[in-house]
Amino acid sequence: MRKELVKIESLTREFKPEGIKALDNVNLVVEEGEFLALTGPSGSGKSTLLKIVGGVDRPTSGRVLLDGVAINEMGDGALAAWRHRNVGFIFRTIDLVPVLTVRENVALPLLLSKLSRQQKRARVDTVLELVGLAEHKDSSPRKLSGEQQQRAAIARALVMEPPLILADEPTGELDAQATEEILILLGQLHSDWGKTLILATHDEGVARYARTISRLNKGVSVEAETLGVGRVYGVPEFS
Amino acid sequence: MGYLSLARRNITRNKKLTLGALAGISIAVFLLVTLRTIVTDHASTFDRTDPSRLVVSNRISAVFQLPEQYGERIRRIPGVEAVSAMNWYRGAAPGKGTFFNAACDPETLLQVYPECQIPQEQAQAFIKDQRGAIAGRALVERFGWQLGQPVKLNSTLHYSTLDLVLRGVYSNPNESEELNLFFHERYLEEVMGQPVEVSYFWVRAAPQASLEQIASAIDAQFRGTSAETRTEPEGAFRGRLVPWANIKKWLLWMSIPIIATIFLCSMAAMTVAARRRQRELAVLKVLGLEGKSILILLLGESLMIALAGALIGSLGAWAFHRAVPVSPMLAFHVTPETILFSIGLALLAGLAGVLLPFYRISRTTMIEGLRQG
Repeated sequence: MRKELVKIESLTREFKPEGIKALDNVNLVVEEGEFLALTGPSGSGKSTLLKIVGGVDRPTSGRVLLDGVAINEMGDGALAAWRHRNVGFIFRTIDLVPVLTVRENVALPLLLSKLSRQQKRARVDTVLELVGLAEHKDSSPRKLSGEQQQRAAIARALVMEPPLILADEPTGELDAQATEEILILLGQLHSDWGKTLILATHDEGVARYARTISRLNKGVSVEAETLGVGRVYGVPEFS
Repeated sequence: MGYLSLARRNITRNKKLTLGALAGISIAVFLLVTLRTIVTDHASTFDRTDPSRLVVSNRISAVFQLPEQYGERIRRIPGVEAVSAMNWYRGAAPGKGTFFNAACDPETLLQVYPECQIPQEQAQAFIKDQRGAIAGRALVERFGWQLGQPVKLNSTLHYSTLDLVLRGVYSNPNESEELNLFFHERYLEEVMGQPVEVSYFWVRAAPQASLEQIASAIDAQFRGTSAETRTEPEGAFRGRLVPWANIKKWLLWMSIPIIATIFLCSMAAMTVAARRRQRELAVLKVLGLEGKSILILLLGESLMIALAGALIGSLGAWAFHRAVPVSPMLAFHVTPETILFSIGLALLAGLAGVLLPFYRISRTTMIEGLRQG
């Protein structure tokens, strides 16, 4: 049995003053090297759960343990440092800094790193090679297609070599062809590089690229499904 | 890539905003340097007045004149070391504009102005030539004059024209005092065809003498005459001619809106820049760049704009005032202290410009920030 990388215990997130419960007593375990898709309709709490797991938001109650460390009990500064080291984020809206080159965008998380200039450069080149953007490293993000921009964002998420990658609707603004390319890339991160991925999506077709699917509805975890390996990287049927 | 590099790139992302802030700060710093230089120029004139020098002028007003023979009587008063008569000519050099010029007694002028340094041979050439004139180094440089050069002066006060020859160039520790020109009183009389009276006598007291006693003795000497005198220290006399305290107050008041403009430009630029990048800054936070990093980034941008504006404004003022004199009476010497003061003030404005945007960003959660844009 593999190590439990993420363990969510009785997690509740209530938004005040409306009193809306985005998550209600959710329990979830993500093993190291897992590729999990969180699915559910809009408003089901997928993004909220992802943000809490990534230390971007805090739960109202419950605990989130990453590699045994309760991150929701950390102070803001410690949580930021932890997030920097342990989590790579990929967003639906591609947030590359337009005045920086692709290489500089990918290097942004390394601003806080104590690596030497050469080590930083080598690491950026490696991840750009990995996502297939080596040729475009000196380009402006404005000159890239949506898919290429998302690849750059994935490279930025990988550059700190975090144990956990969180992707929140990463294909939400891409066409079908680009969506497939990005999902294949995420699948490779899991299969070839052993990365632990949690992907939030409302699209069942996208979710089927993952190895495990956990469904949420109105903030409650309703179902978990483990998919066969063969189905993960097969040609999906987009809904 | 470091924070500074990132800040520098961010400045270029909205060129109109950056250029607007830069222009605002530069113009305001230009004006501030100009005002401050006027203040420091005048201050140096007053600060460097010789405490052993007295000025004797007409008791009614400095515009009324005094008989020339007063000079000899003043010279005989105990404690008086030297006396020199001076007659304001108010001449303008064609094509050069006005500046301070006066008829004087060349034999005694340098006795009352020992701080003026002039080569001995130039001083002698000036004394010997009735049409000779001496001018301060700053004035000579400003007008590009050479020794031996003819200098024509037209006066609307004496309604006459003088054809002088530059015989000497003096230097003075106070650059504003180097904007003057002196020529022979006898030449003025020759041109006017009659003896001329004196605007004021410059009196130099002996080292141990009491200025108060000398001043009282001079004024007592001429009390009851048709031209009573008013004798006062040089600083007080200059202050009476130019109501410096009022001007200084006015200039300082004028500085307030200028300084406010520098701060407003900086604050407006950074507030707009940060507001337009709320989501991006939230993403940077998600990537782990918390508070201090975001502050460094914003500070870098703000200080770069402020510094660039300060440099453009202050160096622009320095270059402009060297090329285009604002006042013939002022050397307009932009001091390094004034430039440093302006840069320091602009950097302070840059610092202040970050406070509000940073406060807002630190109050905005990452979730709220990610919802923007």
